[in-house]
Amino acid sequence: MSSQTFPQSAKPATTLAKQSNIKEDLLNCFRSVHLAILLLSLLAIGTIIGVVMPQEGMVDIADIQEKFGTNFKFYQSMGFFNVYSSFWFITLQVLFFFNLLIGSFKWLKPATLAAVQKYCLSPELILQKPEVHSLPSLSTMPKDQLETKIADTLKHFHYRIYRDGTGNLYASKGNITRLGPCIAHLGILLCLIAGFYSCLTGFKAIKMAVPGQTFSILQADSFKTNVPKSLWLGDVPKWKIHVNDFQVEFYKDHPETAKQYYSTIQVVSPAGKVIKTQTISVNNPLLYDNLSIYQASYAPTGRFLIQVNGKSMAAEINNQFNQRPISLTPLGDGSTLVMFPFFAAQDPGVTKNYAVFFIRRPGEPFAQGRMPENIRLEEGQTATLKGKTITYKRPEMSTGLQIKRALEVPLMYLSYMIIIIGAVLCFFSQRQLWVTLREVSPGKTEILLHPKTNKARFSFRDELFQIQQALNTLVSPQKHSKELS
Amino acid sequence: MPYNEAFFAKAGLFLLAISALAYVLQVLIPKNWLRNASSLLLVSAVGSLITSLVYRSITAQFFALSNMYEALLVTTLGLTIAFLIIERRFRIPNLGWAVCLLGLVIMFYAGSISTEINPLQAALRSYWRSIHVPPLLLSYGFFTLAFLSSIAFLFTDRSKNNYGGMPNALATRDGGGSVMSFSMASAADLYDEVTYRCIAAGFPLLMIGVILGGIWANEAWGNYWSWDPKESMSLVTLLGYGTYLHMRINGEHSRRTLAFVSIIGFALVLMTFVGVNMWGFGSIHSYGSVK
Repeated sequence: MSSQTFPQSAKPATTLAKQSNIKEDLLNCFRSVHLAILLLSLLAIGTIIGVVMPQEGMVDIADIQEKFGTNFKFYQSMGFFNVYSSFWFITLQVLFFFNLLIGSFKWLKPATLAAVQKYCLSPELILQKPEVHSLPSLSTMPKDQLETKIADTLKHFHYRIYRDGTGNLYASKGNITRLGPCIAHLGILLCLIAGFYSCLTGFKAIKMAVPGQTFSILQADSFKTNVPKSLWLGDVPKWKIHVNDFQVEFYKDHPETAKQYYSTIQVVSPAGKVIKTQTISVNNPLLYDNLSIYQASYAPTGRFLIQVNGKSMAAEINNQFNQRPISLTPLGDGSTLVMFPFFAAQDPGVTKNYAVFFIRRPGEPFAQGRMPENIRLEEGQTATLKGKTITYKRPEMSTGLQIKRALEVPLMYLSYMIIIIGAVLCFFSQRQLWVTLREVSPGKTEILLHPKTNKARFSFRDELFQIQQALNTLVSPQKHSKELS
Repeated sequence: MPYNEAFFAKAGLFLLAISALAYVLQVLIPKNWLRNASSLLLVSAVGSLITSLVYRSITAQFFALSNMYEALLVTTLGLTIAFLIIERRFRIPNLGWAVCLLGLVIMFYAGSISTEINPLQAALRSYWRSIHVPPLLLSYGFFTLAFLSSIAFLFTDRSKNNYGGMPNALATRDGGGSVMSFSMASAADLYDEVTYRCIAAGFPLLMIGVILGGIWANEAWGNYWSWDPKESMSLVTLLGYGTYLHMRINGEHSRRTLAFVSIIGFALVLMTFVGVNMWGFGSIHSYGSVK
């Protein structure tokens, strides 16, 4: 029987070894720089596809279909029109997360050790290093005094000195920079975690509202959670938002460009009590209950606020003349107020918003071959036409509000700060110098230096050149003064 | 002639041209005084262009960095300032004339597009604009320098030219223990190192710019990241240079490969800076477009 041929214990041991190897291989794969390079490259390529290909949500899907014709289905199945939510792009991000996580922990220990280590090398050990510099001393300075002088010289170059008391020195600077990559990686991890937390708890709502309107967040034009609702862990506040007023400020010399737009909004409790009032504008949101209400956009509603004989009314775009939108408003006496609006922002040659009004009597043909009696009114102007006093107040605008719950903001900003600190630290180098004194003959001491840096070799070389010059004046002052002369 | 924005911009161009000549001369006649004179001329050109930008900002009544002309002007400044910083550490006369010529080309192109001062859109009326854009453009300066250095590396690496005049203080111990021997560091070594240092300097600057942009977008619209083509391309540039840095750390890739990656990185910078708007990928960063 097989059980007799092979001892029972042999099989599990092999399996265990195999399992352990697979685990080890997998871990090695995930913490390898090769995988990091591959993932960075693939993420870059994926993002480029997202830039080049039109993306759903930004471009109408019908337009994309028309543009790509028969290839549409293929590209769609590859997720090219929805790259950033596609399965393969999310998989790459997940792999990147684990690569960062495992890789960072792999490097954290050696980097920390490299940052905190302090050890000296004896002459025998220094001489085994590939890069050693020697300065033969001609001075008769006692060994301990020479060591102190060397330490002082290195301190002048901002090195931190560690001495073991037997003539061996360790000098280093920029130790903290060794942690730069780990700090940056941990910052990116934190950023990804904050993003994940945001997905689980955050939401975004957009509402186009006119002054006087009150609405709850769930009544917004669009309400989106960042993940499917079955996975969503957040909640929606019960309070409401009331829009008091909305104003657009245009540049006087560029009436087509909005300088700023302001909405005065109120946070109203379910019981109708005003909790907070604030005028928001672009770059200046309202913050309340971990929610931000942003001034995102504005748009004309297609209605115009006018007064006819002192009576306020709204003229609505409801018709077209020569492909130009116009408003036909019944005035109650059988006649109709016809309004042609013109906008500085969209009509060429128009520098101020205005409207042309005329009154059409019952049975009067719309086009008579000539312009009927009319008045041209700018915003705020009043005039009389066929016995009626008409005031053109302004086009009615709706304010575009974006409401966002983002509990992850402090965590996200913290991660940004950590990433920046890590990235900046990465630029700088750690410089290490091991120095020892070796007595070559009675009264003659040789200084041995072993330099090491992890980057910026050329500037370290320049510095080392200066250090050697400074040490030369220390150990052979006569020679140096001769050189100088 | 009135001392206004145009005067200082023209003076900057003139000084850039003179600097280019001085750097060419410095390559032919490697003298210290010529090196200092070239740097001084370039510093004057930078000063003149900064003065032009200050005048423009005073006229506009805001920090004039809101359209393509201004972005190109600041990029030229970023490039020349990056070069002056790197030049202090490394003696790289062969890059001086290339930087000046490239600066001239950028400025001539900037002059050929609309130089009109446009009113700021509401979204741009924020202090964030003044701190988000300059690090990005300075990083572009460093990446451009890395690109030039990579090209120089590929040329010198092939021809095996040696760079003269760099004292090799890392001279190893030779036999009897003598020190201070001078050897020649190869030009290729130098350009490779300059490429690395430029990318190492540009990378955090780009990251700072992108992060500040994310914070601004969140403060203004409630979105850190909206996968806008310009944003996405800046991420691609970050990933590209991140790849370079990881390849460099890995130590298994040849310096030629790294030089090619640096050149690809610069192509990504160009794509981010001008390509996205030029090819109409529909970015909300429409103010970066060419009129």
